[in-house]
Amino acid sequence: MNSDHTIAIIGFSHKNAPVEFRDRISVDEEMASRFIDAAMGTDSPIREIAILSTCNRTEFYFVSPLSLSDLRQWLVEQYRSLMNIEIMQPDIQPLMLQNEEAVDHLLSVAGGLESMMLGERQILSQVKASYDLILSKEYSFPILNRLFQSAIRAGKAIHTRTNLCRGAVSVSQAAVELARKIFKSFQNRNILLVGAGETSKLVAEHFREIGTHEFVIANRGEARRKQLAERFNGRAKAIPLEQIPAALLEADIVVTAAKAPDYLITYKDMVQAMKGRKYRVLLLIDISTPRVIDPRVANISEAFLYNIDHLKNVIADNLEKRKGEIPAAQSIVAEVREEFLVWLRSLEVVPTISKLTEYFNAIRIQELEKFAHKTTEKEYSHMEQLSKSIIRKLLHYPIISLRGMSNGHNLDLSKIEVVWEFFRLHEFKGKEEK
Amino acid sequence: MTIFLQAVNVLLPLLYGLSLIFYVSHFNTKKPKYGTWASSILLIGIITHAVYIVGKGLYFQYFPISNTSESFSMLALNIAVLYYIVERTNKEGATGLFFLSIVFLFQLVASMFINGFGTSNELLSNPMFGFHVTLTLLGISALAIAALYALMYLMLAKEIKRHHFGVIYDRLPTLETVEKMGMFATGFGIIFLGIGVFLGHLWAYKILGYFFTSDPKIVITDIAWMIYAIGWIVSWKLGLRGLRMSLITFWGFLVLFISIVVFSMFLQTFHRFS
Repeated sequence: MNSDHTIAIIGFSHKNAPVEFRDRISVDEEMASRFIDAAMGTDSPIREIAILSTCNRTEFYFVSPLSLSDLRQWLVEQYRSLMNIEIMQPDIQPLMLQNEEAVDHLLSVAGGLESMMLGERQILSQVKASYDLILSKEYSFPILNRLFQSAIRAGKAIHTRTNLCRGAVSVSQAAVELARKIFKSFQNRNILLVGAGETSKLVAEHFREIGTHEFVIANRGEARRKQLAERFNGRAKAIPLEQIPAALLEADIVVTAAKAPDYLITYKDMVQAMKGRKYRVLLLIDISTPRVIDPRVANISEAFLYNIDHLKNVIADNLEKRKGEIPAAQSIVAEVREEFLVWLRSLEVVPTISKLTEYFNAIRIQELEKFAHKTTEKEYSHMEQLSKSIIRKLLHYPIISLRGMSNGHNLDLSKIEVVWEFFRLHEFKGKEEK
Repeated sequence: MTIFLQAVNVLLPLLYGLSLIFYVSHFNTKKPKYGTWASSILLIGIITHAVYIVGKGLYFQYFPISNTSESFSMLALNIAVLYYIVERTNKEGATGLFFLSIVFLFQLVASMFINGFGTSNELLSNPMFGFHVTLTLLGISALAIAALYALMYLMLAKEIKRHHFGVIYDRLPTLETVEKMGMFATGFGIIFLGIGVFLGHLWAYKILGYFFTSDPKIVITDIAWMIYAIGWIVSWKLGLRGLRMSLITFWGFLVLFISIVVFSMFLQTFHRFS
């Protein structure tokens, strides 16, 4: 078999390497480009290369006749020379896969099946970025080009045909998900954020993504509340904690992520606010620990109060639902993988058939030539026809089997290698090669 | 003509049933294509139904609510039309299953128990009378739809409140959407029923010579409609929304329905036509 078509992957991810190591070996676009240049140099045994590097994984995809250990050695040397980093560490074993397993891995990665947070969507755009990088280079990547196209297709199919990527899996997303069950549109919604820390920023960002423009930020420290308010281009209002009761009259959603010794929103505040709001529905999400909204607020009919535990339950439920979608996503991966492998096998089978035919014909001609001067022209012509017919019949079933292999689902690429070894096709030089 | 009407009589429950199947699929899977099919088949059903009722009325020269079967069929059409308008206006088909179940059931009963066409009731032969009945039935149907939306709102709000994320939470649209759909139906109901009742009085004036009658069914309908309309409009003007408004809509309809239907069953009235 033509081992030039061997696909391999060597990678580090959250599954086999600690975060410090992952941070160190992570490569940006410019560095990835340098790795590609190094791999595609004139004397390099690597035919194709692509690099997928995110915060949780750095993976190198190769098409090369080299063994996995040789590819690993090549990678170690490149890290040394390009980044001055030692990646060969006794306690860290990279993921090393070939052919079907490597293909399967990339498709699963693109669909979010291998992500730290099952069903993560962002990874697909990172796979696209890796694909865009190899497209932007002047080299030819026929196999990885096709493989990455298949991966992107698998990722999109998993997003649209399954629920693997649906449902919030972070506290801030869960807050938005809850709000989406109450309000249809967020354009004219007023959101009161109590606290101006990282969590508040994250929640505000999520609400801004779905169209909210009006934020009121209540915080003890003036500098921090103003700093957060400035992020919203003048559409956010910064207020001290004392003004929370007044802000409750206008708010549609209240998110608290603050530290305070007492409740910042008391039951009495809410009862009064509800009268002023004419009992308009209010969603309150208390992410603070300890809680800063009086739990008795939940007794008010129109106040929907959620705390961090409730949100964690939402996340756990969603993760459980996502896990239930794994078989459906895996079947999409299997479907796309088979399509890709059929294509890849056709690359292997076509040269094998032509090489085999050429080999048989060379023997035929060689043997015929022994009789060239011992027979009449007419006899020679008959012998020629007979030999052609015998060769055709001899090759009929092997060729049908080879073609069938490329379309079938049970071909181990190494089976084609047997054909090459059987007839020593590697040693045989066809007309063009001579 | 009779053969055509008999054929459509069989076709109508089939169309509504098919639409219901797609609404159920849409509710279960949330796939928009099922919603589109359900809505399209519902529209075909409504058009066919309207042609059936108008055709029957024109051919036999009467307003087709002369018996229980025809009344059920008319109610089915009214609910279907109103639901279709509410759905298209709000672009939300997740609640179709609940309304199409009623439409399908009403039309199935109507088609199964149909007992010939035509009537001997002179009043029903007058086309003017049709406006009164159509608008009154449309109004009651719209208020029934609003009550069902109010019930959905209360159930969904209860699930959100209790942090219980079951089927209702997962499948129904947002609280805001359910509220909007209910408000829309209530508005329709108050206006249609009001005009229907007013036309009834005009009709009474024409045939009896006086605008108001002491007939208990009519008096109760007038009072019930007035209480419902005034109560609802005042609540709206006061700024009440959401949970409280849903409670008013739901209980308001129950009181109205009991007043009109139940009382008139036990009291003597001239207002019977079958």
